[in-house]
Amino acid sequence: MTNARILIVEDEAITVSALKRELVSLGYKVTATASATDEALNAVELHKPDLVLMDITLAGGVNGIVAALAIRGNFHVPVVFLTAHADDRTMERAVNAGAFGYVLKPFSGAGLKAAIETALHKHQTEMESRRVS
Amino acid sequence: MNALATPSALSEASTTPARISRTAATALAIALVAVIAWLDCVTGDFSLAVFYLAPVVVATWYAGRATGWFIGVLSAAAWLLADQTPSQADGELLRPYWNAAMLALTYGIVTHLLSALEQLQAELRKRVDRRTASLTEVHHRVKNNLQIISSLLMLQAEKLTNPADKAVFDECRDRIYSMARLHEQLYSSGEFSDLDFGAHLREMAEMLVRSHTPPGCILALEVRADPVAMGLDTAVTLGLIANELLLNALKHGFDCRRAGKLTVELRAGNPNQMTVRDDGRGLPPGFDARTKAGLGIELVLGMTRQIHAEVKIENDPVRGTRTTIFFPSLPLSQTELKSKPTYHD
Repeated sequence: MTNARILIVEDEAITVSALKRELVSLGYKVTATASATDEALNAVELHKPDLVLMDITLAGGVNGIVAALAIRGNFHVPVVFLTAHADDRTMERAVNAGAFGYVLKPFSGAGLKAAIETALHKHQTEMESRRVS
Repeated sequence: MNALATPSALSEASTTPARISRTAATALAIALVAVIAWLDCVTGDFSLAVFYLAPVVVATWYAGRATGWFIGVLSAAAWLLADQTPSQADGELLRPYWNAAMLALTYGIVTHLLSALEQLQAELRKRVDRRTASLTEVHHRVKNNLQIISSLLMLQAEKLTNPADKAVFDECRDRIYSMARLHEQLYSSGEFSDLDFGAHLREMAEMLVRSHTPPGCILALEVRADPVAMGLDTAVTLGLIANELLLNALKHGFDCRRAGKLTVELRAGNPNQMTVRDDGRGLPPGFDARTKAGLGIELVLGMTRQIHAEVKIENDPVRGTRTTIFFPSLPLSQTELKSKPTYHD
């Protein structure tokens, strides 16, 4: 699903810049960027993105998971986590928060695209089955 | 919505089982004292004083020093009641009490030693936990920093117009990616020491073939990798060597070809062998890796020397190029280091 609108939530400015360029080169549109959880929630409400690419570790804690819970609960937007490490405990919490996938840092274009496309497809299927029922 | 555990809830959850086990341990110790005292009474003159150590140990280890002392005194009293009636009948009134007091003191000393051991163990466990947490944080920072370096290279490469120049930056990002994956594997294993290089080699080969297959070429990748354990330093260097060999094959082996095959092998043994083979056009006539090679091969030669390995670059008997790295199966100590690397071509 190219042209999907994506919100980036990441507190590392250089990584945000690289992500923006990589996403654009892959055919996606970056609607906004945010570096904190409250900023992310406001941006989701304002821009209504198709997907949120969220760093798990924001400002020293795993606040990304808390933000993902709120986004999924209130706005029904799929969240793909961006993380430096996929340890079992963090991943378990991410899954509980309703994550649609994750991308390991440092990211590659192919890995990013695969995770985003899978998440968008999964979300679409979920929404369709919800409509049917 | 799934709720996350709050810190207070977690704290409560972690303390409740400890309280239960403490009570259970005390109850078990008292029961043991009662059983041993009964047996002591039944057996008459045969002393079972040593068996009272069991409840003392249980109480001290699971319920703490004070409870251990209590059970020790209780055991001594039980021993006195169960075993010493005949002595009292003989008229030696003080001796059984003195012996019971000595027994209580012995149990007390055992209690003190055990509780000191338990405290030492708890302290060691805390230190290990702290060190593991620090190591985890270091790995996390390393990967975040690798992400930043990779991002900077990507941003810098944007300013370049020549595709060949851009390719140089992409190769650098591939090298960073390779190192990052090793950190990931090491972190995920939880061991922080040895990792399985076979798994890493497979993942890296698949990733590079996905991103660097020449346009218009259908490339088959075959990876046969034994599990080979090694430390991070060796794995990073060997990973970078594999990265260079694979990139070299992908860049030069399949020019103007519509199909090809790339084979990667890792064989465990003494020495271990890592082979990258393509069925491309082979080495150019008069190829000499020491004098006419590019940066990639120069890096391979240098890194091979670094891990005390040997490299063999040759034309495959069937077709294409075959490069084999022979590397030691055990970490070498400084005394085992070779003064000069061996090189074959």
